[in-house]
Amino acid sequence: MAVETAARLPPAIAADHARARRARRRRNELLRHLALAAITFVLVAPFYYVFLASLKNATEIFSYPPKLLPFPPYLGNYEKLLFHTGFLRWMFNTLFVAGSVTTLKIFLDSMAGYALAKVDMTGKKVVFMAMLILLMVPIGALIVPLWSLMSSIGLIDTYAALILPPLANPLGAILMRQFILGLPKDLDNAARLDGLSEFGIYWRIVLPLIKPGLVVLAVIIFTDQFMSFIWPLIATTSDDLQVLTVGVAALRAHGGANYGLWSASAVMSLIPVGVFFFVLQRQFLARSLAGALKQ
Amino acid sequence: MSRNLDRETRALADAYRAGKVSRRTFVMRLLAAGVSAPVIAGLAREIAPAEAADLKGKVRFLVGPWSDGEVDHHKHIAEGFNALHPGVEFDFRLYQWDTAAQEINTSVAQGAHDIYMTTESSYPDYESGNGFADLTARVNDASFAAEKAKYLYWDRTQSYGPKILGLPISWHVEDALFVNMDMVNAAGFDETFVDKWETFHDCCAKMTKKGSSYGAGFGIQIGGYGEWYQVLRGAGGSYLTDDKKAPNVNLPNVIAATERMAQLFKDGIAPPLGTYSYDAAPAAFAAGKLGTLTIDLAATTALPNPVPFKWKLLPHPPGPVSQVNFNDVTYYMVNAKSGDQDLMWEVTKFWTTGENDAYWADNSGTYPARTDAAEKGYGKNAAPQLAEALPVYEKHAVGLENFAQWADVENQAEAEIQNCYAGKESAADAVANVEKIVKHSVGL
Amino acid sequence: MVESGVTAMAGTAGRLRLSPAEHRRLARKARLKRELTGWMFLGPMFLCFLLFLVIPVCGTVWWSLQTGNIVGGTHFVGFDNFAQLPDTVGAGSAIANTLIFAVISVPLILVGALAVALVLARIEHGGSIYRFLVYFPVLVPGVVAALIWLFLTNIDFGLFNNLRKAFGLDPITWLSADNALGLLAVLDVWRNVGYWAMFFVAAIIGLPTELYQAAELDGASVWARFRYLTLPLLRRIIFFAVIVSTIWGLQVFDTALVLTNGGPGTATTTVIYRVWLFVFQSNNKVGFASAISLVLIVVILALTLVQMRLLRDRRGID
Repeated sequence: MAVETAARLPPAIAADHARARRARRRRNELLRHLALAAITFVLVAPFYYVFLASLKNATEIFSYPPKLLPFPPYLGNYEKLLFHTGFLRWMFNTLFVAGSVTTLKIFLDSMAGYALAKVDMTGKKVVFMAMLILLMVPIGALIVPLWSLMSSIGLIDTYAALILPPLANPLGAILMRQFILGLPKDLDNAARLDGLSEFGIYWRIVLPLIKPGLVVLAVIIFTDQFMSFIWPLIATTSDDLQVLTVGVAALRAHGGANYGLWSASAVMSLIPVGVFFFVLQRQFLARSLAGALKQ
Repeated sequence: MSRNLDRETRALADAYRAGKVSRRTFVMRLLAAGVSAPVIAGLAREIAPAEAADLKGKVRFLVGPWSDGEVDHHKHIAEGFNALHPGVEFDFRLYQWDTAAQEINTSVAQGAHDIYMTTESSYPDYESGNGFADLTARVNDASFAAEKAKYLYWDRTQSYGPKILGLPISWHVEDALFVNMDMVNAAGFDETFVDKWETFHDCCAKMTKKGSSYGAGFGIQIGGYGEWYQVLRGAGGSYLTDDKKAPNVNLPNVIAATERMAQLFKDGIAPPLGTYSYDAAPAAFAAGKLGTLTIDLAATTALPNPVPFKWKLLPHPPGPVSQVNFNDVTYYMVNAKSGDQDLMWEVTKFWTTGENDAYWADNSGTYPARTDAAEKGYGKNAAPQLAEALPVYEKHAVGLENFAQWADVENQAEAEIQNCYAGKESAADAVANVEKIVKHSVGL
Repeated sequence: MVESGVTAMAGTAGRLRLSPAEHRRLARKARLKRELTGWMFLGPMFLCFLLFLVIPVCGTVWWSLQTGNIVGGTHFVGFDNFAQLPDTVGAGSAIANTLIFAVISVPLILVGALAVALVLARIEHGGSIYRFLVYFPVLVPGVVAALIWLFLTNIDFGLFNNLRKAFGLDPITWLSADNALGLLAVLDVWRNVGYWAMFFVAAIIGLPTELYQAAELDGASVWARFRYLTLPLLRRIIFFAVIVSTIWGLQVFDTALVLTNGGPGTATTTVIYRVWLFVFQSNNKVGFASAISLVLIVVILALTLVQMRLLRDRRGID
């Protein structure tokens, strides 16, 4: 289209138009940057304020106008957090539970998704419908029966109590099904003809192809588990098994509001997920979501 | 100093070796003299190694966050216990006040901890269940009689039913009036301003300066616990009538008393609910932002030392019918599911001896539950205002009512009344709702 | 199936030809093998699904017909709990609070997310940094976010009031009975805008650019392009986002507990908060709590079905 119009205009005017378009593009780009800078500033400014507070002692926190640069830094809050509370243990517990759930679900859900997508079995439709319907039921509405169930098996206050219930979430299976359905149809038939077992198809062919989907799933599940609060609050009673969210909430228990300590705990809580996400963000955001949404 | 200690220590060690004093006396006297527990344990072992039939096991505590050093205080007491019985291990866990009920109940059901610090407010509920061990036989045993006489508050403890479920630790005023006397004097009043509601109101009004201070810090105690209950009882009401057959809430005096509390908020004399939280309020009081603060006594441990003005603990002004001060007792209770009940009984007794109870209460901003607390060291760290205020608080003391749902009703009622303070409903409606809450909770 | 094809092509009569009975037998064996494999793949996840989702949902139904204590035991009372629901102090306000919360937060989240996504999708340089920063609040656990905001909203030295003071305004009690619910909603918006923004960005990236170029040539303004092209094309995903974010909004608990303890009064006591209170702080209201949970589950199921119906309709029309 641009070529056609250019062919009809004298070269000087065409060049003018091109210059105008470039200028407009640059201006739009600048406007976009300004808008995004403003928005991200609003979203991220609280973190900077909290980061500052984590490096202040009590008198500095209470003072107005507040100090805007973290020099000299006061490390007492971090020292108290890391060495006088169970923070490191809580972090370990959360990472262990979130990591376990994520790893387990990657396999469980991709296998389930494979079955739902590719294997012709009775009851497949019913199972899928059941999963779709119960997809959104929150764990918070099920605390009574879940607690009762875990308690009668004697699993309250064990890692199992933290890891097992989240495995029931059907989001992963549904997501995997969509991804696998999107693969070329004859791929598995060709593989079957080649003599590959069903498991071989799943393991050697399907899994590598849906890697972006697996990344999406991993990020969603990990962040979800990292943040979960009401179930771990109820399911664990001993100090050893406290997860990060419950432990940090319990920091309020010490007499007086220790804003410096809370700020330090906020900063330290965000590091693992921030890193995890930053590393995977390219894959997660760009390709994977677009692929997922095409379904 | 150390030479004196050495001499005392040597004298005691000789006496112990000669069998003139018991191991327990030896340990306790040295502890009182300030010798550290590990040193004592070493000495004791040298002189007379522990008997084979000594106590052994693991004891898991679930206690409340009374102060910043709560776990350290318990560890200190544990050191003393270990000097006597080195084979016992301890584990301390803190619950949070706002999830205490959940944490205690789920833990008891699971047998997850052995010794619990519980509040009297749940005693009727625990009495009607069987999660906690029945200590009646042990408490009434002749061998405990001498020690039992030194504990306080048995009358209250035994009023809830046949089972004695715990040993009292402390007597706590849940809604004490912290008063900034400098501000009160500057407003032209003295401590008698609490003797009548009118003078209380006027003084608070004068202490309120827009943008810098409020006269009456209400609605700040966690969940308002006990704050309106004092108003209810002071107006001649109660959740249930004496025969427990009907609510006794919706009375004109109660509505009037609630109304005048709500008026404090409407007039801007009390800060809008949510301005200061339980955690932040002691600092605000110390910064002069609140002329009076209604909060439990444990806040004394959160105040800076020294507080930059003269302050006192005073009772609240009288209600239309009587002057009332709500308080509750704290207990150590034992999980019925714990294996070694004898060990738990020994530990519970040890934690509530004169010295240890005094030590704990002294550092937790509350009153001990022992007659011998003062002579055993209570008062060293506790703010002097506490001791000063005790007679007045005792004079007007009122506790909870004996029905299993009292704590549940109290929590819901305070929240409902706070809706009134926030201007969301009238006092009459709020009180009527509390009556409904009582009926629904108790099943009337 | 494969065998009969081979048979037909082989032409040689005899060994490879199968009788109908044998055929059926082989087919049945093959089908059994398929079913077995299918269930072996599906089984583990489905087992967890049954044990920890389906059975607890049935359990909630059962418990809602009881009264008593999770520890001490319960007895059957039929529909009593449901009958008492409308008249119970606190039930109505919990539902109202939750609905108001959803009504405030969901539109703000989605409009904000869409706006951010529109800009983010077209940016040429530095997009990944913006994406990370916009998504960052999503990674904060609700509890940690609440602690941060407790600090930010402090009356005397929190960020918000410091800003107001810098502009010469009076400080506000952000967590007052009137403001707390709104503030809770804003907290939720802050946390979730990034999540949906990423969703929308991916969707916008997938839109066909030829349509936009044609529209631009036709002289359509930016607003017209948005209104007549972008919005209709994103309809499905917007519906999905509305339903899902509403369902999440109905479940708010963590932040309500840590930020305000459900207060002041009952200003931020949401449905799940109320359930939790009845389960653990009362000694005989477990059935009642389950009844409330059941109502919540039914509402969520209804919303899910609405979403499925809407999406299916659109698919037909599209």
